[in-house]
Amino acid sequence: MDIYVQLLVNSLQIGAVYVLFSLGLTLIFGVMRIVNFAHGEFFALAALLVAVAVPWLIDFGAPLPVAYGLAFLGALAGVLVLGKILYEFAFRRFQRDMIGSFVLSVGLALLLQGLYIEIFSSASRKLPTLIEGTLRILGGAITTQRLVLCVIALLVAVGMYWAIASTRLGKALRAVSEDHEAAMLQGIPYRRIALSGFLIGTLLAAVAGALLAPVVVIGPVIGSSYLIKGFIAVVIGGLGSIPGAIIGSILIAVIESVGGYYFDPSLATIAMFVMVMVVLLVRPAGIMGNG
Amino acid sequence: MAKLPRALLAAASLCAVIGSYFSGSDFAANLIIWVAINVLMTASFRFVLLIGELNFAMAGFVGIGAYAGGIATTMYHLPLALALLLGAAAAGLISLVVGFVTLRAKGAYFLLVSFAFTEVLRLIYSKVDVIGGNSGMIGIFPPAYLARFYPTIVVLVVLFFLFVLYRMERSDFGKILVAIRNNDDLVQTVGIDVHLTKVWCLGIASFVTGICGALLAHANNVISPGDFSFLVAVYTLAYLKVGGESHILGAVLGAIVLTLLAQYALGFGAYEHIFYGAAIVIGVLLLPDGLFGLAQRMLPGRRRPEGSGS
Amino acid sequence: MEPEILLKVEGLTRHFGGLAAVSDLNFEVRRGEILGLIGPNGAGKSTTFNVISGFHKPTAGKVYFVGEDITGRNPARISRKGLVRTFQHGSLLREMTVYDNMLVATISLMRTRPERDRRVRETAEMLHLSDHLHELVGNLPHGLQRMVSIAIAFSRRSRLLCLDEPLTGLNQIEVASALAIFRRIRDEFGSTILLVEHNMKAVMEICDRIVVLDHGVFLAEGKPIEISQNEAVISAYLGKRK
Repeated sequence: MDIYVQLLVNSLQIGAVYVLFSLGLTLIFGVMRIVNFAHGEFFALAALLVAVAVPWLIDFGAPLPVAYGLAFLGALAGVLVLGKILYEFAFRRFQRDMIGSFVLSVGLALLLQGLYIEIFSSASRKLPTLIEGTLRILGGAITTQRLVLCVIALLVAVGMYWAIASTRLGKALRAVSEDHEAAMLQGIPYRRIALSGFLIGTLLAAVAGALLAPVVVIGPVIGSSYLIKGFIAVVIGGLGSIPGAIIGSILIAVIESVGGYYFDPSLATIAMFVMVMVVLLVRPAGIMGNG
Repeated sequence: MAKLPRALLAAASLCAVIGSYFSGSDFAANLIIWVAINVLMTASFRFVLLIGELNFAMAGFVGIGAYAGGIATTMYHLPLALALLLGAAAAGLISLVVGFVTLRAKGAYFLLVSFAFTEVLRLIYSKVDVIGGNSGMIGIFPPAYLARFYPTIVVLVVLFFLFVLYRMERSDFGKILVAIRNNDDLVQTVGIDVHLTKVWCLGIASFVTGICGALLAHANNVISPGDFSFLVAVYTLAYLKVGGESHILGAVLGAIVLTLLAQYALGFGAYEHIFYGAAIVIGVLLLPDGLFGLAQRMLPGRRRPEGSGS
Repeated sequence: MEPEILLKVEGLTRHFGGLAAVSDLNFEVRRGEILGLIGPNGAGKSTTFNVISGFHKPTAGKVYFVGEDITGRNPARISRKGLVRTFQHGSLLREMTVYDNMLVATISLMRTRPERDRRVRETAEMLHLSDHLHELVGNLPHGLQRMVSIAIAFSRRSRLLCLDEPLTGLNQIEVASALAIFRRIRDEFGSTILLVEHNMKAVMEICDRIVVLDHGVFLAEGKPIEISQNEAVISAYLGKRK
């Protein structure tokens, strides 16, 4: 019994990051109809900035929590700036052009990753543990800070869900997602909404990266592995669907932890990819999607 | 653009063939082989773009061609020509089956399925020990008496298939492909089975891609699963974007220019990413018609509209 | 003499996520006639077209073409049997020349280039497109584009041409020209035309018979003069613009 709980707990913690990551990805697709292959690099930048800033701030004499807090905010700011720049100079021209934007985002992802390797060097970094301790929940062990990560991810996910459903911005985002021409006819300022959607999506990736930094070893190519899983999650759940992104993320987290434990990790990955192919062919809209 | 002096193209091809024979140093020979294979890969990637799809499964088929050709040579000691053909046939036939299933999806969805397919194949290669598993297959050499001519063989094969792809594109079949990209419902309604046509398109392109894989295997003598990741399609996309999509010569130009530039620009692994990434971004943002389109516009003389009726 | 029935629609029903776009529709198209299919917006005309031509499967009902059951077959097969349709929006290949647009339509009919070429030129001649053969369709004015979409369909010399709002956006002269061509297609080539149109004046002028739909249901059928006096039809259209 213990092993099942442990696997479940592992899935939750892996899933937490995937959820944040995928929410951003699906939101950007929903609002702008672009497949943003560079999403992983926003995530990676946030993680790298935190991983670099915290030791630096500590050297300056800041206590660990403060250093982390400042680094966290700094990372978010940095990523948002990058996002805005890329939006203005690149993505804005390619909205609703799935192939063109995809190609562009592939180029950007490659370019950014190369730059990260140059700037941040290939060294992997591990931050000092922020919150000590391990908790036992129903027989499964989880470090306290991973638990905090899960809780925050959960709060953000719930918050997003609520915001999309209830706030004006959320409703506008949904309207644009469903039918952007009708939305424009109703007077919704499409340009501004698209930018907001893009930035919120990017921010989510940044939060995921910044939260992950103290928990896992960070290297400059971390963007790619999360990107691929993120896409799988989003496609299975339904491109453009918020609940779909959550379901998809948890699903692949479960496959990864269960598959990785009973079989081997690459077999688990194969299974995931096969699942993606099946979903795309049988029900391209995904589990929750509306195409 | 059939007006590009045929004599010029013929002369250039002849130079390539002769040059490859006298390439002398290993470095020059390898460079020529590498450029030639990239040219053909880009042309075959572009062939699928005729129906409007980005063939991100390409690496998978390069791999099939490479492994099939490698198996033919190392395990069955078949002549080189047969090994190449087997590589092509394996890639082509498998692509017909895969295409039949995956081409039901379009655009971004086809892209993602193809991408997934490539990764699955790569993982499978790494698990199958008889072909070397993760370490790959070694000892894939062309027969000793041909080794000296290998660069020329590669160039000849590449030129031949370039010509084949070009003729197919200009034929009525090629027009159907472009029509499908324009409006596939309309093509259905004039009596053409769009799905089967797309599958054939992928089959033809993958046959050629398989040849590239087999050529590559015999050139590098060693192949491993890591050679066939989705990055292959990404780099090919870079060549195409920079060279220009609208004409097959754009594919040729882009592959030649970027491969040669990469030789001089590359230092460490990181620069490779920056280089190709920047090439794609610049291509997409600044050179919508690629270098070839730029050249077309700058050269004086006739400008015929795309796809003239004869 | 019994009119030969080319197309027969029986009990056709098509649901779209809970909404009945077309419900229990019955009508027939007779050989050599020009039949108009009209109705206010949302009447189900496009849906009917889509089902007839194989782009949608019906929820219930059958479609017979020259006596053969073609219900739910795929569009390419139906087309090869002699039924061709145009689309309301963009029944064209914009990035290709006028010549190539028509050429593509002939490929499944003829094997050799000379044959295809001859058919394209003959068709272009009839539709006054000969001077524009090598222009890109996307660059042509709207009226000519509409003509090209008719030309694509007509290149096949099909028994039944289903035209979906071919006259949209045409001025009076262009409409008259198009109607003359429809008559020629019928008289000289023996083709039958099923026409969906909003231009009432043109419909009354060209059609031998008219079928009226409203909210997916059959409303009336008859000669133009009968339809124009039909109470139910008039009230269905009341308040709706042409």
